[in-house]
Amino acid sequence: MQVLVNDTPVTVPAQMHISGLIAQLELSDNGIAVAVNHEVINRQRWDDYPLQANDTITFFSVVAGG
Amino acid sequence: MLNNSEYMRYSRQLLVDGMDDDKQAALGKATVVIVGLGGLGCASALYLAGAGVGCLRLVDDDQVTLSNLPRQPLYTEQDVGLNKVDVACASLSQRNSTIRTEPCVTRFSKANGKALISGSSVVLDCSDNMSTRHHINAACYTAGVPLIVAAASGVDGQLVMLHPAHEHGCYQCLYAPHQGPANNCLEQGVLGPVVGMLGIMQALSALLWLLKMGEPQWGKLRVFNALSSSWQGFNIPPLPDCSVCGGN
Repeated sequence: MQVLVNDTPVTVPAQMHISGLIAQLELSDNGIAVAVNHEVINRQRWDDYPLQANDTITFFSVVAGG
Repeated sequence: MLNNSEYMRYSRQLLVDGMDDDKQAALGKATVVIVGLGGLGCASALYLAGAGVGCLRLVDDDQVTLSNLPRQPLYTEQDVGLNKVDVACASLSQRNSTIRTEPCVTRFSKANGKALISGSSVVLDCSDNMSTRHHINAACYTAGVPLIVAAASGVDGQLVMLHPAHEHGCYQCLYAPHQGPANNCLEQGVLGPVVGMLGIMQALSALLWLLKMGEPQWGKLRVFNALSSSWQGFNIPPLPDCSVCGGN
């Protein structure tokens, strides 16, 4: 199935979870956050949050400085 | 009621649509707690003092260093080595002697959080590390005090408005305690105008809330990138088993 990751179409297997997508994209999971369809998905849900076809996925950095 | 001097001082903001004398007087009775007097805290404190927020309680245990000066406009070269909150209170009082400032030379913690936010109308999280941010979030949710969080690192900024009485996730629903680096600015640097802009956005959000103007964006994360000059917005759903907000 196809999803949109930071505005770029990406093909992923069906039954894909966020953790799987992070592994497929070879992203470091340190200091990143993710939103699916403009809703933040907490890190503790990444292993079992199922992606759907045509989901809009946005990876962004955790920012804590000030 | 406002006196003549107050009418003169606040004349420009009194002219704004939706503003009136009563709102300005209410601002004078508000207490805003600012945790962290770095780039975010300096910017937000300057504008809240200027606008006439009656009491600013400033919390930080750091001293001024030379590397602070490019983006922390309450301090000068003469202040290096002095406590930030002492310098900041003096500097703000020079700009607006009609407001009260409360210097708290301490690090916000689980132990002192309740006392530090006691009696406040709103809390601004201007801190620089994930651990303190989680302590502030927990204290605000326990006390039922609205919280405006900002953060900046590199060319990125983030703004979050959280209200314990509203049905959305809290800071712990947004980020797990160990999800980010301990101190982004030390590791990744920061451009002064980026952190200044986010601090001013915090001040603006606090002002609009205190003045009951506009619709606050409770439960939204707003993400800024300076290179593309763009904002993105995301909802923060409550985590069902959150130990802070209880999934609201």
